[in-house]
Amino acid sequence: MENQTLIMNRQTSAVKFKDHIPSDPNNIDTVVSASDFSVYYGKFHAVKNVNMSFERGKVTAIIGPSGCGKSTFLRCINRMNDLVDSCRTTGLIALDGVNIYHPRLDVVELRRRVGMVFQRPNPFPKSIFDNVAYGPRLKGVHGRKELDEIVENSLRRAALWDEVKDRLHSNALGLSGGQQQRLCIARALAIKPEVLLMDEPCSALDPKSTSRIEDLIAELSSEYTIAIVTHNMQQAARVSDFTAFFYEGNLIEFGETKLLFTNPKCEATNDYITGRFG
Amino acid sequence: MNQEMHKRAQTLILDRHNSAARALFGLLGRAALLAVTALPTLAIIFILFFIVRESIPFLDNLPRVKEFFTSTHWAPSKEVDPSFGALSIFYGTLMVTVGSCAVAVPLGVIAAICLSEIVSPKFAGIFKPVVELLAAIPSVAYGFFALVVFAPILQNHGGFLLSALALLAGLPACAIIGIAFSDMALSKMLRNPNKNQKAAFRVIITVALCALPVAAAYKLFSVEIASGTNAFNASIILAIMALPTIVSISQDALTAIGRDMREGSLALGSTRSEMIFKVILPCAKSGIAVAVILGFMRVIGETMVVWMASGNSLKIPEPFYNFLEPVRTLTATIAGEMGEADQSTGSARYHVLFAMSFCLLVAGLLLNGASQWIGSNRKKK
Amino acid sequence: MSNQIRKVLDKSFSAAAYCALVVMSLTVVVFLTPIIVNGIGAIVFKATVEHEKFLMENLDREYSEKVLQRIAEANAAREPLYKMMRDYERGDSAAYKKRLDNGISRALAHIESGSDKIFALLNETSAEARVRMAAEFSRLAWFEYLTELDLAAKEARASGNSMALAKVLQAQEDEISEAAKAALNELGEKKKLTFSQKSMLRRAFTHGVFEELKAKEGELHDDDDAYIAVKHGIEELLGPATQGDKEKYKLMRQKYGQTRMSLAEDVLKNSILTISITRANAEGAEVSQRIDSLKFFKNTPVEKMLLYVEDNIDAMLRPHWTIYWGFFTDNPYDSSIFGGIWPMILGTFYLTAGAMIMAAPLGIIAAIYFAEYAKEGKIVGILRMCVGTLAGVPSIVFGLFGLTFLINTLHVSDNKSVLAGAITLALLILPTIIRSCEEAVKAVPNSYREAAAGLGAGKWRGICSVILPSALPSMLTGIIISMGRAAGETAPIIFTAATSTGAALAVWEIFSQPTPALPWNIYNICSEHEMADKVQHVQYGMVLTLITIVLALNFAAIVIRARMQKKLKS
Repeated sequence: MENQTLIMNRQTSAVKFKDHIPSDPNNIDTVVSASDFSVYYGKFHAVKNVNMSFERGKVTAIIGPSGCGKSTFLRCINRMNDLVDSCRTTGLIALDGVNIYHPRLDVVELRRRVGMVFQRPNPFPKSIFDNVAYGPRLKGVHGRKELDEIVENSLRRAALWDEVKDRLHSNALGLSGGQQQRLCIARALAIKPEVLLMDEPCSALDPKSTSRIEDLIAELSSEYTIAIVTHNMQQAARVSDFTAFFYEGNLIEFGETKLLFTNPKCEATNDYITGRFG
Repeated sequence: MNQEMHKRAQTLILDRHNSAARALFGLLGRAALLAVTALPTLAIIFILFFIVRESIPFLDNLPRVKEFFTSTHWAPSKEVDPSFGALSIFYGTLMVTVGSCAVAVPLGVIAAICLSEIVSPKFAGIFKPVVELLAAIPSVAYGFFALVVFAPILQNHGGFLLSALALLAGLPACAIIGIAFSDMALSKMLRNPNKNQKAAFRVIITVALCALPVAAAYKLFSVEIASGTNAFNASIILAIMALPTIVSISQDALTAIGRDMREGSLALGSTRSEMIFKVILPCAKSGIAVAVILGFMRVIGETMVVWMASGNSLKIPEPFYNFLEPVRTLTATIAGEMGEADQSTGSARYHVLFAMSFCLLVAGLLLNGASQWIGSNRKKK
Repeated sequence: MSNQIRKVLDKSFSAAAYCALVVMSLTVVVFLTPIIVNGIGAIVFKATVEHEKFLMENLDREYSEKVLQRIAEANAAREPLYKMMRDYERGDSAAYKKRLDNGISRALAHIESGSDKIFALLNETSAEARVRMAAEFSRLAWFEYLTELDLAAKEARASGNSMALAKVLQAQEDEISEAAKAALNELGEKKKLTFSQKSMLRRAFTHGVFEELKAKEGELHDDDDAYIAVKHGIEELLGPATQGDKEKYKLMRQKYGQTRMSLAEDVLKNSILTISITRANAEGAEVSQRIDSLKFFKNTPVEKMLLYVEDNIDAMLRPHWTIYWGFFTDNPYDSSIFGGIWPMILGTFYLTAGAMIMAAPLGIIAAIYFAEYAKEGKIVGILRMCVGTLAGVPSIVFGLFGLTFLINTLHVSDNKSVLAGAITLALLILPTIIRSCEEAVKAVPNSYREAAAGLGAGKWRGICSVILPSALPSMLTGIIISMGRAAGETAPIIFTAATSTGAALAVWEIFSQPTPALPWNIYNICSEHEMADKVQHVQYGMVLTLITIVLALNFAAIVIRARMQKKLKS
């Protein structure tokens, strides 16, 4: 099976280990780029030499059968896999041209720039207000008026404001599953990230909530760069501008969603899309 | 655009200074946490060190150590030629421990079996507070009960109580054993017995066996208990104290066994109690062993109950299994003699008490080690 | 084995299993019932006016008109009794002396006039006959005196003058002895008597009278002893009769009568209606006997007193049900015979709070380290083993360690102190706290950690802002239950902090002073108290208080956990 990758080659040569200034100013459209990136869990080679990039202001979907390494790859973009002891990476991922695996990288700052929404909604056992205000408070925002504003904006953007504006101080665990996930989105938006990573955000939700969140993603895509991992191809086709197909740790194909779904270049992609496996 | 990106990129990478500072901070923080966590370690080391150090002056002297373990003459406060024979005290500890575990282990394990296998989980949940209540009551309250309520009953109605116990516990047990035994013997002894012969045989054997507890009760009825504070009193109260530990840990071990074991056995046609004895108990035996050891540890280390209820006499009871005589234990001796011994720091009297603590510590460490070893073995399975 | 038998065995095993549960439940009931019933009796009981008098005079309790009137009525009811006693104790000895002296002189006159007969006696040949005749002579001589003595004794007992008569008789012995000696010497000089002749004469003069005198004296002393026993019993019951008496007593228990009606009834039964007196038995040894006072004092004024006390005890003591909350807030007086147990409760509170303040932060930090930071390896394994070992050390060894290390070596305080005791207790409960807090932290779902990290929280920030708050209910539960254990432990504080008597400590004194504490004082009051039967209610009250504190702490822990979990989930 051929590996066809489509990546801005200028990016790869420009970024060096110590140098964090991109030499080619035309690359400002690329927010995140991965170059020869591999992930090992112990001996297991989970992600194999991936080269791809995420364009600013666009939604990029990552699809593939379960166990193909897409979640693993996504979680490396904000270095969440640091929390796993046996995880080891080679190659590099750059955010705005900066190698995020640099030894002196400020991981906390990275995670503020790259937000994440998880598969299962995981609001803190605090009030709705405190959930959304958590991130800003970490940054040092304590003024009541400021926080109120940030919370309202984030909840509005997550299309949750009207439903919860009267009970901002009630416990977040009392919301329904769909509402909780939107709350997690609002929480992630509150710190104004550049990139929003979404790891199968609708897989634990019912169809109605799923479609609401898909609408949300479409709305948000104008302001944020979104990378979404999904096992639901129809969802990927609906919401994304670009799609990457992963299989057994390899990036098989990457391209514009319309093109990839109607006229995939690889046979494996075609097989997956038509449902022959996965 | 370039410059803005440059600025933002800059904040992502920390300069050497900051990075080093952060790393150092993290390390210091971890070290501080580790230091605090190491405090219990320090404590245990210190405790061991001190007890050993203060007991060495006593243990140094070999003939005295021999006397300590073999002689029953205990007179540490004599001015001239004091004697430190602690054999009767060791025996007292042993007696009380064995006595209480003889009561608590069967009772506790059967209760645990009942809670995990026989009653509904809802009822087991309701019964949990009873066990926790027994566990929460302070030991001095148990000692008070033993001294002020139980001891007078033993002294005034001891014979009646003991004979009643013999009947209540002995009769059902002997009846059951009789029935089971008669059946087994029946098939071996008579060929083709008819119904009447079967019944007669059963009745004869059962009645014969039941004569035992009745005889025991009759004999016990006339027993006069001289003093209500004795080994029997202490054993019963200590058994009550050890019960919660044994019950709750055994219960955990039993409920951890999967359903498939139980279903497999029942599907083969066993009765519930056969399933319990032949399948569940062997499976849970390491967990129950841990429970018993922990119960042991609780009993050996108990001070107040034995100080108040065991009578504090220095003789080994006559005959050696007579629980109705007063005894003295290691913990009660330490508690009782320490106050005065502290006045004469440096004397053998002072150090012998540390030698006793050393023995207690060693016993505790061995038991703890045993329970952890058994527990880890279980995990390996 | 046949199926039938197997079924029987199965059923009987089930029955045995149920019995085990029943036995455990019964144990709880049998254990708690007497403690609860008698412990409540320490607070809710039938009190007498003596109780109120004690509270008024020593604890500055203000009392209503009703109570003051009750005290006045009780005093009024006692007056007749005291009058009876005063009358009885007055005694007039002069009259008796006169009568008996008369008797003596007549007897001596007899002896003198019959002195010739005596000589005939001396010349008798057989010793046996001599003895017989001497005895007869003496009997005749002293006959009137002895009759008089008998009458006097009877009268004295009936009228309450035994003491007076006994005093007279004591003097009389000497008088008779002197007079006999004088007469003997006179005769001896006149007739030149030998030694044996003199002794024979002596026998003739005084045979029989001394024994009688001694016997009568004995009886009268018995009376007196018995009366004094009754008088002590009445004083024990009602308290000193006059203010003057009260002031000369030093111990509080002598200044007041019985404060509890149940104890008063015991005193009535054991110290007034039956009393103990010492008598010489057949071998001549002094033994104490119990006698029935009413029978002993029949037909004497003392009988009237006894009947008065029996009939009017309620009027003299005015018993009434009361709830004595002061049991918890008052200091003890006179070895806890009066007053309450406040210093013990306060001491227990200091020790428990001190232990928690020291152990909780250390335990939580250690738990966080084990749960979040520790990488399983050799060092962590050793640390865990040490925590486990510490949990298995007997509590008495902790006490010894506290004494030798904290006090004798480190000198955290010069002598026993609350500080040393609290440190010892903290060490005792530390392993349990570490264990339960570690489980609480481990139980926090990983998703929270991920969410916090994803939002840019560093590890420590994440722990403080998300994990600790969600683990808090379980942590609190474990900590509060450990507090309950610390409150009830005795062995660690015997040598490090506890004292049997003492005042409630002020906060700044806890660093250097020992304190009474419930567990230690319970032991003390059961084993070493000199009047254990008088303070039984205090024993039960202290045990009930301690058990209530411990169970309340356990219950609070469970309620807090349930509530906080509800809040977290709602």
